[in-house]
Amino acid sequence: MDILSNLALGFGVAVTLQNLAYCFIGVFLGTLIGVLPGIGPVATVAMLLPLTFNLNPATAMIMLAGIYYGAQYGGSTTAILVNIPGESSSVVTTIDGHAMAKQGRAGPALGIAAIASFVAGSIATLVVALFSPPLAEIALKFQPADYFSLMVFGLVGAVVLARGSIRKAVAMVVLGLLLGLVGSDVNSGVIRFTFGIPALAEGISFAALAMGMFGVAEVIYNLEQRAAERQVVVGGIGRVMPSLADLRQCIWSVARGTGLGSLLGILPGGGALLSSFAAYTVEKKVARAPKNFGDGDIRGVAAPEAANNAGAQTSFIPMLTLGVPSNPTMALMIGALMIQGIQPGPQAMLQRPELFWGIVASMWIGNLFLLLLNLPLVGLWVRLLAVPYRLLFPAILMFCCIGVYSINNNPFDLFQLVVFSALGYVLLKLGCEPAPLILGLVLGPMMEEYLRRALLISLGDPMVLITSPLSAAFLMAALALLVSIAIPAIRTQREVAMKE
Amino acid sequence: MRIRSPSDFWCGLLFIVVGIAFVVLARNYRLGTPARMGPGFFPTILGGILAALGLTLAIPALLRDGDALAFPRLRPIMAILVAIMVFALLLAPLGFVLAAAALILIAGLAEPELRPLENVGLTLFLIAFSVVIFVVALGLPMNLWPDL
Repeated sequence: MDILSNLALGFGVAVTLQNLAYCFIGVFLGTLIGVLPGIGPVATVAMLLPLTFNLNPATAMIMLAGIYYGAQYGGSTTAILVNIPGESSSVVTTIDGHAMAKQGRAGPALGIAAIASFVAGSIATLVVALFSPPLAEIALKFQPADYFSLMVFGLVGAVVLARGSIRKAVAMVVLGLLLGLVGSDVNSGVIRFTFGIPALAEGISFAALAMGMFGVAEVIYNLEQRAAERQVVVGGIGRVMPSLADLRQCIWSVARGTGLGSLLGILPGGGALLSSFAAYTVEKKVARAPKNFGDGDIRGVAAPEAANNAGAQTSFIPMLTLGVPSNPTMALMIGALMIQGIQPGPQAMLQRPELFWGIVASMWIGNLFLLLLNLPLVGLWVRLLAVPYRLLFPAILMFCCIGVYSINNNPFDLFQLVVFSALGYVLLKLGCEPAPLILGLVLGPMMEEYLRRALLISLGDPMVLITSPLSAAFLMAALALLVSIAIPAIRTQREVAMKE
Repeated sequence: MRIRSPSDFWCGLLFIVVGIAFVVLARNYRLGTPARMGPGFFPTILGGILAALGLTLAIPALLRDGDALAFPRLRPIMAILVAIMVFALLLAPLGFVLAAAALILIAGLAEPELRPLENVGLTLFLIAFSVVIFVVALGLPMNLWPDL
């Protein structure tokens, strides 16, 4: 069996005392920061990214994977106990999770979230292991035009999933693409849009932008709103381990959530968010006696938590095989790999199997640590959540500043942080979601490069985007997505789903 | 003419201005031909698209009612942004401990409910925590004190 020997190779890379230690620290810090209200995985990963710079590539990815899962689980904890989702993918968890917490069943809710995440993560890791190699083989045959259209498709996916106005989301993507062009142009070496600032020649600091928009802007916005009182469920967490009856009730919900999440996670723009929404909706339709949903049904926690973790795993597939990020967190992972001198994509995957399989193995180890760490430490996270926001926001700010600064050890990056915090606040105020902008920022230079190459090969004829069958298929899919949200019926449904 | 949907209108205007700015700035770079795109080609197209999208937001905003826009409260914005700027300016000359103290004390002004004594305690705690985790345990290279 090929896959068994490959997995053995991966575990050989991942399982060293040092790697396990870093994975453990990653999960711990990721959960610690992810628990803070208003801080999602993107901000958490961005904040903790610098910690991995001095490590070797495999260890760095293992630690990052740990941070990512930790942050995701931390978001679920906040969703269940405080009714404030740390990030959009745990929005649905608040519905039944917080209802359970109010009934004094916060413990089992947190427990099932951890267990469902672990089961889903383990299965989805296998999916990644099975499907990535053949996909990478196909990806090797991609022409520049195909890559360009794939990215268009990915960006359209991000737009469809953004909340609020679609025109604003499209504009955010374009703005992101433009900001991505700041710095030196790979082809001509011309330095663009830097206003003569030498530090901008290498482009806008991705971390400064991500943290400004997802971290600091959010802090300012929360301070401004401040009226919204948080109700933390502190007393009566109860037993964390769900009862046998609870577990038996959840088996099929977890299975359905895992399947759905694994599938949707692969789609560009998909990942954890879409998966959790879809899983909850399906569960309400399929499950026996669905009338309890919304009033603290444990299946309403198990299914979306399984789905968002499965989706988070499989969203690694396009990143590792194509080098194309499907969500902002994956964009950060690509950034981290590039700092390590690795350009993700089919080449890297087939030429450096030890790294790919090491990452796959580390995903599973990360999920295991998540389970082992969080079941006993739930009490600690609960106490952290009881800390009022006026004492938390300076801490968030401090971590953001340390994170941004330590990427290049350059104070100039902190001024970028100020600029993007202000921009992020203005855009939040104007009802624009930051996620599409961040994806655009990462894809901007790549799209320009692929379009250039495609048109160079076709001697300037844009029809190449349609005559290549793969490229045409991606563009058709993108068009179909756009048309589907323009149709009023589906549009209303999307709005309803987003509200839930 | 009355602005009936301020949120969409100002948002659209922002995109128009930024889009046109990119188109204008891109005139400094060679445009090239589609077959041999110069550095100005892609930004010019994207800037045009952004400005056009801005128009589709701003014009309907004059005709249809939409979301209002509350005037921002300046205190949290100013306190947070100034705090980061001061941190950036002080970090190199004064070292992490003093810069971080300035960061947290100034940021604390953003929230009137944060009592001065609490803020001082928080400052001491966060500096100690960050130094132990980031500098001692994880070895981030930062000067803690001014170079004398």
